[in-house]
Amino acid sequence: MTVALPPARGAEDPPAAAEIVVIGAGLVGAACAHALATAGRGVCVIDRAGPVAGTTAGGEGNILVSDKVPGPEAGLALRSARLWRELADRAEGRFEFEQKGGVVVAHDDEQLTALRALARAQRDGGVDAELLDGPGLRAAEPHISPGLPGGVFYPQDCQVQPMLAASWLLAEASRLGAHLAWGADVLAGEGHDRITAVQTSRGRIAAGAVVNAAGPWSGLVAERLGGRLPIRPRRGHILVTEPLPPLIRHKVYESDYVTTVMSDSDDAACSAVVEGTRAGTVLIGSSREFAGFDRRPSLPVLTAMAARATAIFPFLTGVRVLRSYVGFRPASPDHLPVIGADTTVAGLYHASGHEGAGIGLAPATAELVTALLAGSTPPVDPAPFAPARLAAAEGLA
Amino acid sequence: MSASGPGPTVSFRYDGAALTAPAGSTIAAALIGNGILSWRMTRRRGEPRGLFCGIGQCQDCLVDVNESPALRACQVFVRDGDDIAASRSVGWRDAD
Repeated sequence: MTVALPPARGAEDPPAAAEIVVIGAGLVGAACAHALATAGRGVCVIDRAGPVAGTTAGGEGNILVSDKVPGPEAGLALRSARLWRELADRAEGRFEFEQKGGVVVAHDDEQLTALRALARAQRDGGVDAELLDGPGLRAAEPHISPGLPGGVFYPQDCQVQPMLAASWLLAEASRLGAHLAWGADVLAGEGHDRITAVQTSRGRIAAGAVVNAAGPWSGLVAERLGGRLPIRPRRGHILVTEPLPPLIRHKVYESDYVTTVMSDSDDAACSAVVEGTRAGTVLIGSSREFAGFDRRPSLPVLTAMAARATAIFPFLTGVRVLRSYVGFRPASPDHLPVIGADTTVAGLYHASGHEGAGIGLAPATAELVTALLAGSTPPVDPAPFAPARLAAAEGLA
Repeated sequence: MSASGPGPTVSFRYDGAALTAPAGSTIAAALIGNGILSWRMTRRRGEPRGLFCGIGQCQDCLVDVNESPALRACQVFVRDGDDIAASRSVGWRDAD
């Protein structure tokens, strides 16, 4: 039996010129390409490897408002969750979008008090948050450890299969006229003060503007284009269990996850994040560490993650782990996304620094980039995400 | 039907049928020795699956053994009296 494959996208050479070149075919680049093409802009997406070859394939597909402390990123997350729902309606189930809700659990009364204070502050910012006592927690998650005192339910948290979502966005962008060219590594930029072309390993592309969505590699790309972006890879591990019947209903994580996200330590920090997928497998995270681009998994980290996950869901002790994988989050120095114009090279825009929130924040990021490139006012204030803030912090402005 | 060699054999059941295999066989070898090439269907499309990689990596050869669901047939030895069933491919079914 032969299988008829669709014609390969991205195989053609990049065009000699494009109005906007998007670098990176992960979810952020795909969302930018889709939003720009929808706005009628001429787009060429290039990627060093191919679609979803990096961070997008190394995570879980979280669309979270629950883990954002009140502030600019929370506003971006709320906007993005709404845009995700609109995209999911249009995609009609093609990327496993589920508005399953998140449950954050506390291990003791002290954590529960802090978690509830956070939830009340988040509510003031427009996040839906429902306080759960012990019985409420067990009603939401019947297999959760009976010892946990309570938690908070966040109905706006969603999950998506990020590889399918990025592929759908790229296919839609292509249908709207975007060029896709894979195997095109960025070598250098051309132009004085303003970028006029991108030299790639597959040829030169004259460009009116360039969007750098290269994730943890966006610092390197910025450097090659004459700009500057202080992004470091922050490594994470995920364990994948055998397929199970649906036993975990929500995305469930520990309340100290937020502290772990905001920490600046180089050492591995773990906190349990547990969720079931449509395929039946359970994904267990999470870890954060600065370890360069080292792909070798760390057994102590995996062990610590498994121990924390089984403390929340004791039945997991009897479940087999099939595999693990690592991914690299694009981390900015102040844990905020970096979206907007480069501080030195005109025409170069960054869409990076989302750390572990890139899947969730991608549509709102794309909306910001599209508005900035059109000179229009986006629904979310772009100022807190401007790359200039980092240059100012470093005394370079 | 049997797949007995010159050495000792074990008796087991597969989907109710009484079968034998050389002692020390993996379940995958025992089933194949009895002419059974597929022992599970995929969860979504219902396509037949059996031994693929044979070294414990691919998870294609899952089989249910006694009370344990979704074991890798290439990694588990058949034992006398085993009750083996085509797998639903889903592990850990005793949640409640």
